[in-house]
Amino acid sequence: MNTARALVAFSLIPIAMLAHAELGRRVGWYHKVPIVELVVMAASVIVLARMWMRTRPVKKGLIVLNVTAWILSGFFVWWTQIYSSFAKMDPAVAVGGDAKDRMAIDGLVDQDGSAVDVGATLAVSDATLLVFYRGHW
Amino acid sequence: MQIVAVTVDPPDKLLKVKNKIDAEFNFISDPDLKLMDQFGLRHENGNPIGGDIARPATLLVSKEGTLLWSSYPENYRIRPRPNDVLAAAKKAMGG
Repeated sequence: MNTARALVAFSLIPIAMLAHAELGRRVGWYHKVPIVELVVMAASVIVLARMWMRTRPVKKGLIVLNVTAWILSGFFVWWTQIYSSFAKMDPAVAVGGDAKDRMAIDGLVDQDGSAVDVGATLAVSDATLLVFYRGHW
Repeated sequence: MQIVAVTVDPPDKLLKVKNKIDAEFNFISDPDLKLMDQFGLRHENGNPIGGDIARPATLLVSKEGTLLWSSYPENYRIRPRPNDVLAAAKKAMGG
């Protein structure tokens, strides 16, 4: 019973991590502080810690589950709250300012390898949405 | 309104992504971060396997080159949602 309880508590941590990643990727469900996932992880860590404190003699498997739970939860907090965060930036161009001069760049190519004049592409439409993204390297 | 996606990836990767998501818009490869630098969007050592990449940002620019709206998320997991972008674009363009 205790083993099953420990395994269920532990498995909720990777499930919460996967759910966070998949909800963001598939349905655009983003939160700066993923509170539901963090609550689930905290509850799992507490349940496992309580079992560790109350079980005598302490089982090696329970220690492994506890340490792994801390590592996974710590990684999740670090990734969502520290690693993926940026310092607030001062925009190079304010809304209402001229952005066209900054687009006169040589050496840019599109997905077909053809040279692109970004400034000139503005003329194609009433407005252009430039989306800068991290890429897949 | 047209969409142009900009990243450091080489053209072959951009084509792969474009085909994968069946995108109707164009992608631009900016491996030297020239365009990104113009907008202060260089994320130094942002690539976990080494190198600089773009800091995510979304800019709406008019035909004349005026910046109409912009979004600079403070966390790369957080992106403006399509409906929010459309609403902002509609407002910025006087629609």
